[in-house]
Amino acid sequence: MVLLGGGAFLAVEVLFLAANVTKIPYGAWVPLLIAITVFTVLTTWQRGRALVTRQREHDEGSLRAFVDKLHTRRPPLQRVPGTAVFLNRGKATAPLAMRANVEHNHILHEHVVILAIETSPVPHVPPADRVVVDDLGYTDDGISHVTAHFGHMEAPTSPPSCGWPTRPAWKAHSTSTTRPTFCPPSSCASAGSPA
Amino acid sequence: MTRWRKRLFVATARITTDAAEYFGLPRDRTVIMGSRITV
Repeated sequence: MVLLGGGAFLAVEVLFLAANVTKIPYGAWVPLLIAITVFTVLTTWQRGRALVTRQREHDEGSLRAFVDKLHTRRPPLQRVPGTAVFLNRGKATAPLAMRANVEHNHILHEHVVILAIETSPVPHVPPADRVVVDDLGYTDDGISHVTAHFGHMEAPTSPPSCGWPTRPAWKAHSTSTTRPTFCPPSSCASAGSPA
Repeated sequence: MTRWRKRLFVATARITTDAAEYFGLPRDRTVIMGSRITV
């Protein structure tokens, strides 16, 4: 059935194409050239993003495993005062900026929030569903993962009025004077700050 | 990807919107860290 329908349409389309092919040398190459250029740029971008994402996920490694390793580290990692917010895509991987802090600076902030922003397939997310907090298996280490949900009609910025966390765990941190936000140079899909 | 596509991707990646700007993060408290990822 599908083949039959497709064949009927194809027959008509091929006729149209054949009738218009003769116009190509007389100027019809201009829209074709524009279309091919745009198509190439867009597919290259998509392919490149997919490759970069795959490689980055490989470099980042598992977040759970990373946190587990922090706990078994001897001597224990030095924790400095303040809260750091790391933007990340999803919950599976450890942000590279957080890894760099541990591996090169040998420190981690007292409170660490790994923040992922998810766009839900609804226009608006009710404030009660805005934020999901996960302690990543340890309640006492000050490292938690936060997923913020936004509808596709909402700007994923962070005014406190639009349902940003009022949970005690977050309020305790919000008085801190130093709160750097680490973010990758250009990640279009995950980020945000509860500032 | 072929070399010219890689170069095209790098060129387009350079003109993307900054994530910090997109999410309206406070400039003075944002640290941007780059990392090298091979394509």
